[in-house]
Amino acid sequence: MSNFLACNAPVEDGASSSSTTIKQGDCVIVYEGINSMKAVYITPKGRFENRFGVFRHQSWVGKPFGSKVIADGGGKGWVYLLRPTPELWTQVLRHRTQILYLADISMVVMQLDLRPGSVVLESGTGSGSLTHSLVRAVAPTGHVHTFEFHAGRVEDAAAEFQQHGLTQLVTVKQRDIMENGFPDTLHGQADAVFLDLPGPWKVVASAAACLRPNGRFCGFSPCIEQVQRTSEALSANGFTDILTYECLLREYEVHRETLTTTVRLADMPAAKRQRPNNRAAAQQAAEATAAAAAEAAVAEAEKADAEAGAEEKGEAEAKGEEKAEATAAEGEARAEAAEVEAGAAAGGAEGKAKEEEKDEGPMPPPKRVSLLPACVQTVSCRPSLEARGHTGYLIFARKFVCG
Amino acid sequence: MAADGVICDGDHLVLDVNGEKLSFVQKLKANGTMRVGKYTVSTAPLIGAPFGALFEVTADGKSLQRVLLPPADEITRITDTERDNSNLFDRNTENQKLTQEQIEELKKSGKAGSEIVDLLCSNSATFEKKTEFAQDKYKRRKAKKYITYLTPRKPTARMISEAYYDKCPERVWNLRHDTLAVMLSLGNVAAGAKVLVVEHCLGLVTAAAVERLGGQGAVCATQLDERAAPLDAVRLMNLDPQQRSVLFTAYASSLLKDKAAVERCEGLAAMTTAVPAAAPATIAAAAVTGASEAAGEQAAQADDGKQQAEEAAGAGGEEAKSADAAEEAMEVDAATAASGSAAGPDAGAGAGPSAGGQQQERQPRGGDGRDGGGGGYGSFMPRPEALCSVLVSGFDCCLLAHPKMHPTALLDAIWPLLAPSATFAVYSPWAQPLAEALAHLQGSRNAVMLQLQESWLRPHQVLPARTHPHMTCSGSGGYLLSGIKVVPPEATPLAAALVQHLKSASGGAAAGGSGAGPAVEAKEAAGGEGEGQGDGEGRGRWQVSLWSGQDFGSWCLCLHVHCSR
Repeated sequence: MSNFLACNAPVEDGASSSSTTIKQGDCVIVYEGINSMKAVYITPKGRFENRFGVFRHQSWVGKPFGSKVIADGGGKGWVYLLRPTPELWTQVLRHRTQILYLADISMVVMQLDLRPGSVVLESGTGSGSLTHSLVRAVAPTGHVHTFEFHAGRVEDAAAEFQQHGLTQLVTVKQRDIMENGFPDTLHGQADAVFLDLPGPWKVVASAAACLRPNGRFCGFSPCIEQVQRTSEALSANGFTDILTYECLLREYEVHRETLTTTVRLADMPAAKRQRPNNRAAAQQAAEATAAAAAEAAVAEAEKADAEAGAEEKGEAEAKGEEKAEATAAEGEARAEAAEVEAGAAAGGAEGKAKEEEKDEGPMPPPKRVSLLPACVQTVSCRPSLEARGHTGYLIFARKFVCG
Repeated sequence: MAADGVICDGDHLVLDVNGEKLSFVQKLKANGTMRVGKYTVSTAPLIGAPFGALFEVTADGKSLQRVLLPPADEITRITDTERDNSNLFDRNTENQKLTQEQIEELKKSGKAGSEIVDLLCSNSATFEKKTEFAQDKYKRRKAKKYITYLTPRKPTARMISEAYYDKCPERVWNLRHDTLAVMLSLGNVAAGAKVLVVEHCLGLVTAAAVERLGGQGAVCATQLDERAAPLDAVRLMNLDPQQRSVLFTAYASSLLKDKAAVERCEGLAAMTTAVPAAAPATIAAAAVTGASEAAGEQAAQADDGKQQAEEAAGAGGEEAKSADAAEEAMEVDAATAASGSAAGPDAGAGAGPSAGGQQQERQPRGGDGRDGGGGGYGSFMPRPEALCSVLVSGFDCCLLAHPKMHPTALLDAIWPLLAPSATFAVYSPWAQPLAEALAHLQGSRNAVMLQLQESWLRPHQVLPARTHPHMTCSGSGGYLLSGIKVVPPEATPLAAALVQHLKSASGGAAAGGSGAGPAVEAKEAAGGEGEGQGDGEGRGRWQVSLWSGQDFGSWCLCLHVHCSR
């Protein structure tokens, strides 16, 4: 009795929308946050407790899936109640083994050509993560035969399938498939076979016996050596179209950022106007040609001396120009001394510098301001810093269609 | 019994040539011919053969020969070689003693492809000096050139997707088969699901959804504007009537209006009467899907009078004000009739026949338009019970792949049609619009489990001692935004006041909140039903802070009008 599959829902006769509301026995995914979800089975006396409060199951019954519910007893905490899907289940299930995730699961279901009515064999069952997706794909008329050699996992999986109302669609059995292969009763019965075992190549012959012509095979292996051996076994056992893929989903983080569009150029505090600045100016000037040096110096003067008078700027510029030829000035320790020296030496350049300044100096800043607002709000995304690098290789093959 | 059945006369096929190239054959004729690579061959041998059977083009290049046993792979199993390429000199044509003319003659004389390959190897000056691995590669390359293998495949959504992606990825917006697979998973598409599809990828997404439903549930290929929902891929599949029955096309606008009508009646507990009445509205709208623009204009003129008359009669005249486009005018008529009939038995008696009359009157015209591109499938009219079901309880899956439409706008438009806890997946070849839509959904608190992901796929060559990833692969499979719709409860006065306060204080930025929930913040109370008019305002406000583009104001206004309709 559960609500895991849309096709399991009682037929809606017009007004009734029983499958969209929560009822006793349902599995509900309680969503606290994207990394904090829990599966809860609704019982008459059940209570759900978390750090935000206490919730009685009874108060959830009759609410539509997707509702936000507030904690009982005047608490302020709340959670969302979501309808279970195989994807959500993959995120909340209790790990009994390493499990397959969305990217691989989707690829497996697609490449195995599963559709309602297909018969698919799976080994091993593991935590039942993939099994739920397989069942969803073949329901309501198909069947999943899943095998697991660990008795405890078989029991747990069977209980889960029971609880999720999937017993008509999935059979879970304890069997060492690597040792014994699939049961003879399944020979020629399967449309698709999926193997997630340490040695899939040992089962390829049995898989070939079970698959109908044109049936699909998939093996999942973390290591390339396993892939190598499975691939060889496949081509030796009448399989064709053998393809190996690696697939991943790269998660992106979305951020809202406010980016400043005006470049505000702060003045250097007067007390710090010392040698480093001179040195920088000198380097800049030394690199430039004589003509470029004048321009660079204008910019430099703007940056450094916005509040300073026109004459002072002229001096600074002259200083820059002068430094290009007189590297000796670099040795000078005090800024004042440098300025004085530069001022004295640059007599000729001063006039020209002033002229340039009148023309160009005040112009650029107002333009910048008028073009853009002070800041823009942007939405941007980037791949998450921590990403999955490898899950496993997926080998797909098709059983050759003989006579 | 083969897993995919046998090929019948009139079937569609995907042809796989040498495992390299995929092409389509539509409506296979038993006595016809088809192109396979550079050959034209008779189709007769295909009929009655299982899907997936292997054929070889015969030496004369005119017919197909069934291959009943897997051809030897002729792969070298050694893992080590003593030769190297230190004495190998590439002199192009000089190394091959056979001239092009001689090879052509061999082909004409009816020599089998494999024999030509052997001759080429024995006449190559360098073949013996090559490493065993290089010999393998040489033989495989030559075999592909002189032997043509053909596999007719069943046109499943996967095969069609792979074929489209191989042939012309731009036409499906680079939607790769693995991305489509993830999309179907995230959408929770399965038998019994009610799937809303808006796409612009040649019907690929629709086709995949229809295939997954297996005849149970509903897939609505939704049309937004004058352009019909694409169904090309659906028409390439060999669907039986049962499988096909789940698919219908409808205008988003008429679905929204019918939905609104149904909801209005819910309070009056008159739903059972409302639904059959609402159905004709969409049917009538769907009937004009194929109508030309000129026809639409005519209809608009004709309908204007009716519309005014009904407005005057006061039978749900509120919808009339949103009628400006031709199609809309018609739908509003129908919707008005529907809501009228729902509102009271008297009005219903008057309006009902008029809606029925419209339907009959337009049927032939709509039918013409559809049959033109229908490929014999006829039109995909919604069945009343399917329509009833999606309108009453909403769609529980939503797949959007219409990259030219901003996902924020698209999601906003169809949001009221989705049921609470509906799973949705939006595809785009670009990350940025999806990121903006994600930020919007986060801000409006209408959805949880929001994820933006890019799919990545790398094929590997697996051969003894020569295993490595392919030298080239697809750069990106595109991006997917996914989530689950949720409905916040009614805002308490306190929460509303808090929201008001926070809005004025911080302009709608999310606040850490009352510390109650995991991500409690101000917006929670603004949502109402997550689709009401009040929420439209909230979202509009959000976008003000989201975008600062010049045309934003007008865009936002459009959205607002849409929401409050």
